[in-house]
Amino acid sequence: MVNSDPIILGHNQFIGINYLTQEKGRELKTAFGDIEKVLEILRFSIEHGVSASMFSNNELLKPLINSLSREERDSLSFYPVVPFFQKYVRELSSKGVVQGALGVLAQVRSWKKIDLAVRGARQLVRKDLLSALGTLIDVELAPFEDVKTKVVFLHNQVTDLALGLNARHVIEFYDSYVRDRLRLVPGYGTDNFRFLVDRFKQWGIRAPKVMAAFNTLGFLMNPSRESCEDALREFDGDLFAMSTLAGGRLTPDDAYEYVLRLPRLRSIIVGYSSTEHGLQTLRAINSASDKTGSSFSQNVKVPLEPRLT
Amino acid sequence: MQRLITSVTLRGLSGHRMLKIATIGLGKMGILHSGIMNSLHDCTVVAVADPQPLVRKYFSQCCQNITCYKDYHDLLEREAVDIAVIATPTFLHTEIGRECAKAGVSFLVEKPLGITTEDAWTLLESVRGSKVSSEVGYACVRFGSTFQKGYEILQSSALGNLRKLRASAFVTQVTKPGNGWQFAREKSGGGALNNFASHLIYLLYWYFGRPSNVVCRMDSTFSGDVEDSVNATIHFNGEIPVADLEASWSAPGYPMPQLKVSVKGDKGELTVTDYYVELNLDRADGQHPSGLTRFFRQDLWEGVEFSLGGPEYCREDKHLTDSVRQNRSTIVDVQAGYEVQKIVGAMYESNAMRGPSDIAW
Repeated sequence: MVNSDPIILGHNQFIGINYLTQEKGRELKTAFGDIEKVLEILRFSIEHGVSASMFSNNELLKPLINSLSREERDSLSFYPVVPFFQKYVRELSSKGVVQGALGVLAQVRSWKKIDLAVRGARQLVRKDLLSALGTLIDVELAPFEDVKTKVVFLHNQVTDLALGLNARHVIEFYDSYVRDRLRLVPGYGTDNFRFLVDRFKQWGIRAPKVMAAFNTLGFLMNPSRESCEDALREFDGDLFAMSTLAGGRLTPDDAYEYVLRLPRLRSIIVGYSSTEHGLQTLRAINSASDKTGSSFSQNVKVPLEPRLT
Repeated sequence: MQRLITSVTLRGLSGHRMLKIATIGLGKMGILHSGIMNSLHDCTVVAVADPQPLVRKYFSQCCQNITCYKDYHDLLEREAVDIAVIATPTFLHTEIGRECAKAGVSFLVEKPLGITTEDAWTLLESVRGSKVSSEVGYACVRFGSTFQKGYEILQSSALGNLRKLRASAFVTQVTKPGNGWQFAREKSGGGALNNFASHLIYLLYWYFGRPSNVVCRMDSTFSGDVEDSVNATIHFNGEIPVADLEASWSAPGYPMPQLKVSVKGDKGELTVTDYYVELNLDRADGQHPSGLTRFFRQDLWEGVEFSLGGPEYCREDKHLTDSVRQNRSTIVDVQAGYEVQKIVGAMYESNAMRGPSDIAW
């Protein structure tokens, strides 16, 4: 049994993903281009009892890990999301499927994973899909090798593509590769929670760790909020709730009571871009935790009064 | 017993006839549509075609129940499919569309429809002579929730008489010289305009109708053979003001494409983007209050049967499958695709002539 962290700091804000406007996303990407700003948010989180962070293998990750002190590394757990989807989409758009994948592997050569890149390219040419997928997972996880890693989530677009194509053996391969070969815990992001629950049941995949959107606006909940809530009642795994603020459209005070009442909730993925917003978020989770009688935020340490840092 | 099994096979859970789907071209969009189509109730992807052996091999290893063909002609000949998704490089769109129409196979063809107006016309003629339903990839714009909201507002009297119109399309996609088919004019029909900003041309065409005249200038920063940026003025008939248009696929700071249309009227202003709709009215009008109102995607959200790449793609695919079942045309058919191509063609002509280009309808 994995001791998952109840609150996980997400990374969208650091890489400029914003669901309200692209302008806001650009502002955030510029602001967090300075790694010190990312560290400030991470250190704030650790100090307030949030010692888990979700990251994909993006350009910030390696410098960020290198900047952490030994103590910070020891106290922080990572929840990788593989692959860093935007990178692959960019390559696919301009070069096509095969050349795109080779292009991503070629980028890896710029640092020490040259052996992985060569192995991946060889396997791509040898036409062995599953071996190549294994290597791509290795490439994506390589920067995490010196930090504590918990659940490894398959990116929601990749999970959903496998679900849509009914590619059961690809999911089974991912599951066993992460579990048996890497000795880590596999997880699945999805924008189609209802569909995933049904298909995983059909495929005999028991008690999965699933990251999916749950919020009162029903944003990113397909086919509907009601259907996803019904599916959650049938679900036998662990829910990692994302988009809990509906991409910035809900305030923390309005969001978390609903989330904390969800069955099978294991963790909430939060995203804040300032310590002020972080305090507001953690305070709202504390308050919702009190109202719902859950012990969800027992590790969270927030001052009673706002303290701007 | 055999009859019973056949009956179960041909009819899905909702009692509809099971539609058989094929995808021609396994790039990003072909794979995306395959995933969506295969997940829809009463639809199943039975075959794909792609000339690249490695792509076919990978796809067959990934989807063992789907037959892979090298040549789409063989697919159309051997598989009894109802719908084909045509997601190939642009220069193949009309040729494959014509073969589909000839074979009685309805199709979704990715945007743009063709490499030139004349090329698009050949497909329109083929479809007119057939009974197939067709849909062009602009439907993802048509089914985008914010763009639909913008259309609703424009249909109301909220803005009063329109006075000013601005439109832009930006994405950070081409930041260095490339050598794929997108950068060869004979295969792509053009760069930022035909293969990216044609979405914006469709949006203007949907919102404001057929323009009568365009003036266009294009520039290339990275791509030798095709344009990287476009500036244009588009003149409409009647009471629609001239639209100032700007588009680039090399604009920094746009990891995701952004289309934007801003309209100023006597009574207020409207801005529509992929992310939000902003309405600022001097005084209340019907259901719209005075002052600033913002509608974000979250406020307009409606879930779909299966989301991949955004709900608009599922709505696009579902609209086609529903249209095929009901034996009717789609709302973004080859006729619409051809008319957009005609506007795009006039823009290229204007740039080449260094002067205005009239569009005869």
